[in-house]
Amino acid sequence: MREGNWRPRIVAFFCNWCTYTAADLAGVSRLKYAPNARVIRLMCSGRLDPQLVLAAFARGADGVLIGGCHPGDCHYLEGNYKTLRRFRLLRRLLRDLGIEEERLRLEWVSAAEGEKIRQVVTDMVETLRALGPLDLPGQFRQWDQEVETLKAQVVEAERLTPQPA
Amino acid sequence: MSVATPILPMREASGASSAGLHRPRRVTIDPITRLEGHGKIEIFLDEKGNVERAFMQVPELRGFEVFSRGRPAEDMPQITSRICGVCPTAHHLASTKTLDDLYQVEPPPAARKIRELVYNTFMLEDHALHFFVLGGPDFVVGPDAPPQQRNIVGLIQKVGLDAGRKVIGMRRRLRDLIAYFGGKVVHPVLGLPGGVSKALSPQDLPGFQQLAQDSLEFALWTLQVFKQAVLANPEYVKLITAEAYTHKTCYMGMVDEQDKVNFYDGKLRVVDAGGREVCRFAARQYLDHIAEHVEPWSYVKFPYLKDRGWKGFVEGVDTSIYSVAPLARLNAATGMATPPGPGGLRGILHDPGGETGPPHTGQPLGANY
Amino acid sequence: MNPTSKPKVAFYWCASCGGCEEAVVDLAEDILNVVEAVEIVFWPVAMDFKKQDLEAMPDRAIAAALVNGAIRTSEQEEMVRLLRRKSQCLISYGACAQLGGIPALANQFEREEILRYVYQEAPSVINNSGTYPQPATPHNGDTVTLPAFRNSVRALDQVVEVDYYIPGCPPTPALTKAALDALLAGRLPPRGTVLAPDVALCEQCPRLESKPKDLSLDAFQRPHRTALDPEKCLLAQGIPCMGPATRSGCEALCIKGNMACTGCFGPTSRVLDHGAKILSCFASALAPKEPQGIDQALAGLPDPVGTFYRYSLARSLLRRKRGPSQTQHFIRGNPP
Repeated sequence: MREGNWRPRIVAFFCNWCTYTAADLAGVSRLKYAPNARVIRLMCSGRLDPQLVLAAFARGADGVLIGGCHPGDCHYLEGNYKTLRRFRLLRRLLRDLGIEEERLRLEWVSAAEGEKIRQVVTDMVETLRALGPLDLPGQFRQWDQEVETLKAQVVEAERLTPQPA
Repeated sequence: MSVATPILPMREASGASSAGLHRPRRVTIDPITRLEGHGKIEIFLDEKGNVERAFMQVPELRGFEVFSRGRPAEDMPQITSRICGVCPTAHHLASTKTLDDLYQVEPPPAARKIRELVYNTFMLEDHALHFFVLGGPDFVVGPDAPPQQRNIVGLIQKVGLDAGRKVIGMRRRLRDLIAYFGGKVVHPVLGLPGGVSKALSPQDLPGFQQLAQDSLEFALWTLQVFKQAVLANPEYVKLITAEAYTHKTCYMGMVDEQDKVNFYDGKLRVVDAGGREVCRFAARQYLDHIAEHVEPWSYVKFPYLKDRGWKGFVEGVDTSIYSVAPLARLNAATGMATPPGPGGLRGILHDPGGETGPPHTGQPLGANY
Repeated sequence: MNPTSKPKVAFYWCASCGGCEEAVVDLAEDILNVVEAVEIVFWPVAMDFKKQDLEAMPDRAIAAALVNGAIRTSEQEEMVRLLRRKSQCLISYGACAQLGGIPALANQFEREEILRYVYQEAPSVINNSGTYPQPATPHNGDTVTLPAFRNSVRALDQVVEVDYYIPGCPPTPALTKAALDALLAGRLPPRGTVLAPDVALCEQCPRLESKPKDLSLDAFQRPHRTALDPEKCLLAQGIPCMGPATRSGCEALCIKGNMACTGCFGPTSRVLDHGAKILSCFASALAPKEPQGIDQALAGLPDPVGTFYRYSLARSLLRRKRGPSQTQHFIRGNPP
């Protein structure tokens, strides 16, 4: 995958009550924004298990965008604060594992902020474009090449060796 | 290691007799067995069949010195114990004492005593492991016994099931004491800078006092087993004291202010093969006295005495190579700090067969006795 | 019983410390029954069988091989492939084989970085000639060889298929005995099962009653900077304890030693990524709501990777740290 035909892939986890509605509004309002985000609707950003963020990266996402209600506006009172704490810790973890912090982004977007959705997605696409592909699935394959040669040799040797009586 | 009867996956080097070339024969021992750690030995023999060169290789590296960086200091006792799960207590407490030094804190007397109790208990059960499970079968079962019998199972068959149960039961009780304070016996968790994580309940004390008494008796019984199985056999004594199995290096051990053996605290003292002191230093000064040498044929590094410089794999009074562990510890000290138990605990190998041995000896076959 | 008619069992270690071998010896009196019931055909720490003895066995001749340790070298790969071929059942024994264990913390570093530090830069090393371990060292027309040192540490099942897992650093004698009994009785659960209770450690923790429903911690504490109440839930005292995200079965031994769980039993079957799960729990347990307050509260967790993935980095979703150069990984041989 090289710059030319590569398009950043974003997995977006949006809260049902605010950001998801804003994305809907952006669509209804015919606001043009980059088509790179695959949106997953959650009942609250606080329902986003950090495991799923890592799973998205591991399966090929170049960036993960989390959208939740502004502080004080959570439909469930505390969910977005949990998200904020997890987000800050997760960014440190990602950085320590060599994944640029900018690949994980958290935005507070109310249901009325369709324009903000457009800006955030467009801006994140630009950021990811500058960072280049993450391509963890490709990287996993590359990492495992170091054990593939020996595996092939052992398989071949076993095929050729008659089984001891 | 079964040094006495080399296990023989011996093979001729390819093309050995062609074109008048006298290629050495090669003996490969892979893996080395009955000790903790990975190893392989390659021995090259000359035309007469004598050893021309031997390589004791360690075929792996985990890299603790690398991945310990970036970790909180207080996690070190629990990370470094994973260097060795047979002697985790040693690494755990060495790391814990380093934390004392780092934070400039002295543990209160009770904490120090708990650490010493745990460590000395470890010394006892670990040496019992060595004698009965790892090294001892060479002698108790016998160096001529088939390799598949030279192990704890063969040892129990030889000494009897009751004796086997006695060993197993005593080790279990000793290891339960370590677990009482350390949580786990393999990879204990008690070490904190300036102290320990758990105290001793007064009602548990009598049980431990009884254990101390029982383990002294156990040690004396083990000594009897050793005397009967090894020292009473002139063949074995000849083997152990043979020049071929003598290895003269410098010796390092920890000593107290009277130069007596101390397991928990003190200075590191190094003597040469003639018994003369080479240096004496606190653990925190180790970089002034110890360096590591790298060879291309092993992943393990070779520590040596820095002042003397790396002189290669040579023995003798001037070597920069030093040994550690039981025999070295005795060589580096002037004696044990406590009076010997009945039967005399000091220097059982220094005085084999009743004759006074040299003051400083280096028989690796007996290095752990 | 004729020794040859007993089921054959093998033990082997890869990148490990020997603690798993001690855990087997810690079966204590029960090991006599094990020795009675099975024939041990390979166990380097305790017996003198060699690699060639293993090679000489028919395929699937071994009823069960218990392998501990992570996989770091080509030799370890060869040995586990050999054991896989010779065994009907391959059991991953201990945290390193299951998850990578402590050795997998090295997955935060590149191979060249590790070798350079160990053999050149460490303050104790004097290596003016720039010597590094080599795949082959000539000696009088012969060669002495070393296995290749890989860029990544792997869990056992990232190299060969594994039938069962016995977790822990090390596993307890009780779990080991239960697994061996089940094996001998032919009463094993579905393939791939972790042979330990599938609930979080908190469920079996003697301090469970003092764990509040809502923790609302102001900050995380470092264990040596706070006086620990030996009765109260450690998490409630602000000590990072991996219990909520870690499988039980260890008998809460570290807690009984008045120290926090560090996660050696790995996650339960419902967890994808051990580290992310405990990260979620710890973040939820805090009270602050402002970025600055949150960061201050999290300062008590100075090492997220080492805390959350203490034993499981190799088996985490991200597997290792992404290196700056991803092209040199599978070159055999070490830097000049």
